[in-house]
Amino acid sequence: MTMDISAVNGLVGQESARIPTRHPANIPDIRHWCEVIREDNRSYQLFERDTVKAPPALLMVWAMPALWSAEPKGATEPHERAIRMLEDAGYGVGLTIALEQKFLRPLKIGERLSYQVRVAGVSQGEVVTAAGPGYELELHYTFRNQDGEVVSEQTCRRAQVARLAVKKRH
Amino acid sequence: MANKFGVLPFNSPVEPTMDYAKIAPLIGVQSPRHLPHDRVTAVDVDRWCQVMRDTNPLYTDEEYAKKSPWGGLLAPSGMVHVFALGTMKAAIDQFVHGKCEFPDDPNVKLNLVVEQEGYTGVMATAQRQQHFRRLRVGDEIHWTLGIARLSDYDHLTRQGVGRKYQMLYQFYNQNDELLCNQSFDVLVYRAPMSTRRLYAG
Repeated sequence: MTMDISAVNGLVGQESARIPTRHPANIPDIRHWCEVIREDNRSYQLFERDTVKAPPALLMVWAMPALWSAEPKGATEPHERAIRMLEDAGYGVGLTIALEQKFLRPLKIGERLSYQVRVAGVSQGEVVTAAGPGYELELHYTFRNQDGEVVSEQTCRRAQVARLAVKKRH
Repeated sequence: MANKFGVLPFNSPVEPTMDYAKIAPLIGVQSPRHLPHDRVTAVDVDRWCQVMRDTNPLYTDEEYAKKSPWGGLLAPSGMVHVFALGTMKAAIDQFVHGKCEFPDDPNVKLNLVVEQEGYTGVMATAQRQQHFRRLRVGDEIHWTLGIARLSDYDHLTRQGVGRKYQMLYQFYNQNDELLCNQSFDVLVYRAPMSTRRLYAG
């Protein structure tokens, strides 16, 4: 199975509008994260008193879309359209295979993030992955705070594969 | 339970297998107040609403909630126990290292006795909540728990021979107002040999 990749090629270099995150950098999410990652047993009162900056690794968490929405949004931004095209061509499973993160300034509690996604590249033919044949897509994220200062730049490489090839165990 | 002459009451379905005297002082006693690890926050409420597909604007639309008779954001009442849960570390301490966060709580003492008596299987069978007040965003939920009742004879169940007990959780807000009574029914049982072999692999 192959597809005409020229339509996706047309989106390379295009950047999305600024997408606001749903929640600001906030104490409850940081507390949950520290509890799971560090087995941190402090209560919210200590977090509210002591925490000034958010752990950088939480940035991508706040950029995630809502788990469900009453008014689902269509694929309008370039990266959403690129993924939708690959999905429609039968490559319906998305797998993040690499995430490179650069943090340029600390994120303070209460700061509201927004992010833009640029389609940085797409493989010109099917690539073979351990999860089956698919296309590789490179997305470049720029995170800004409410004052427009760049907080982080991240490059996400993802594979869109037709289906997960799971090796038989028995 | 046998009387002082060692005679069983006529309505005992089977011979008692546990010394009820060990349990009796634990019945009807509530634990001291425990403090929560989380405040009721708009972020947690919003995520709950996404998962439950709840679109009530009293939970997520601050402007709407301010104009409502409540004067601010509410949290779904069903969330009350969410804010009173223990942490991941407490769970690991309890289930991996056998160290309880609140060793003096009646339910912890009860679990010790029933385990010693051989009721090693545990199964939750029912939960009921009775709400008296709305939860508001910003609240701090304090809670107490106790054992409301324990059956004084063995039940024959599909899981094996067991006892039922009922825990009572009481949730309060920071102003000491009772928000919710929650009962939680548990069956503890002696798993038959066949089941134990199954779990032992």
